[in-house]
Amino acid sequence: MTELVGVYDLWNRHTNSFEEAQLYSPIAEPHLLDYEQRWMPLVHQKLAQIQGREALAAANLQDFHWRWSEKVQERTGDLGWQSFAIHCGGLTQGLMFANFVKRCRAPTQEGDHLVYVDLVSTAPWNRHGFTERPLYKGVGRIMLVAAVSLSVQEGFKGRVGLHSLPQSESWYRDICCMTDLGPDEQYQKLHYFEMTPTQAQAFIGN
Amino acid sequence: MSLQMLVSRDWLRDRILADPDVETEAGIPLADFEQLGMFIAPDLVGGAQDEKVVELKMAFGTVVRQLRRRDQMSIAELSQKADVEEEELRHIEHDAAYKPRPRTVHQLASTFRVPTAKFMKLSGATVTVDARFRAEAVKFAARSDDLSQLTDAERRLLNDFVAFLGKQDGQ
Repeated sequence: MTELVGVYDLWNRHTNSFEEAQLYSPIAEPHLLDYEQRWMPLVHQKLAQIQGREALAAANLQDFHWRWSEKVQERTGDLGWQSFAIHCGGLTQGLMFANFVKRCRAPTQEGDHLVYVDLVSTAPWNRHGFTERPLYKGVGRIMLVAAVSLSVQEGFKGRVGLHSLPQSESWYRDICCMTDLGPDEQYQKLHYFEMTPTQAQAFIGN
Repeated sequence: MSLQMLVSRDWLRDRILADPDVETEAGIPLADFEQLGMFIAPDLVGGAQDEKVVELKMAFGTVVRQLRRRDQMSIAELSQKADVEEEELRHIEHDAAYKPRPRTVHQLASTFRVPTAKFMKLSGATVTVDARFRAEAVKFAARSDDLSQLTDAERRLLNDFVAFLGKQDGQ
């Protein structure tokens, strides 16, 4: 059963005003419905416009699907696995999956527990890459705060890890001030970032 | 345990307003996976899902059996070709309560050249709320029969369902 974690706000770029948003955990059927029926049709449309990437996407699709599904099955009923959804304007605007399975890689905290963010994603209509007029801003900030909060609550002192998509590297490196550990050969060469306890305290303003 | 956020609503408003307008995605690129349902264990999605998952798994068992018969393979031969366990194949074909391993589903999809994502949905390994997908799967299973050889009608039915699995979402 999904629970309301809290009420926050997203910035509506069209109206230049804040709108009330709800943060839920875990992700539940209504969020899944929005994802399948509102997000993915737009993603498929965009894919169809991009020539030459379909074969690559299909190959990655095959590789990821069984591994991710296997991970989900392994974690069914496992308390070390959490998901979050942000709801605003009548639709799901953001999703995040995090787990407690991985350990830190940064030399100063190698082997320590952390909250690893498997996925954080905002709805296509909120993204610059999908539309010339993206709608809501703030999903990433709220989700990372949730991840840090979760890390502290679990006794991991705010340690967070994630693989950033290329277009988001400056956000995690320069705004969130996470440590960039470079491209990960085991993960499509996406840059792996970690947040230390000191960085977490600075991030949440302590 | 409910999450206690470490910052206030006002704090977040101030930060969001001041943040640069940049992308913040992390993890698997949205465009590189088809179904978010793979991340969500079935027991996180409503009680009514159980019956629907069983229906889909019955259809999964039926389509695996029919594809094996179409290709004139015994269970032992399919086990060898797909590199999966014979016992698991028997469970898949005859036990709707059985939860196949994702690797097995992936191997079978690859062997029969069916989209892996669709096989994952059918097998119950991932969650779907696609009512049309479920309806087609249930219809296919209901019309399939367990004879030693596929009839022409069964072959057509199987081919139509495989073609349906191969369609893009939204088409």
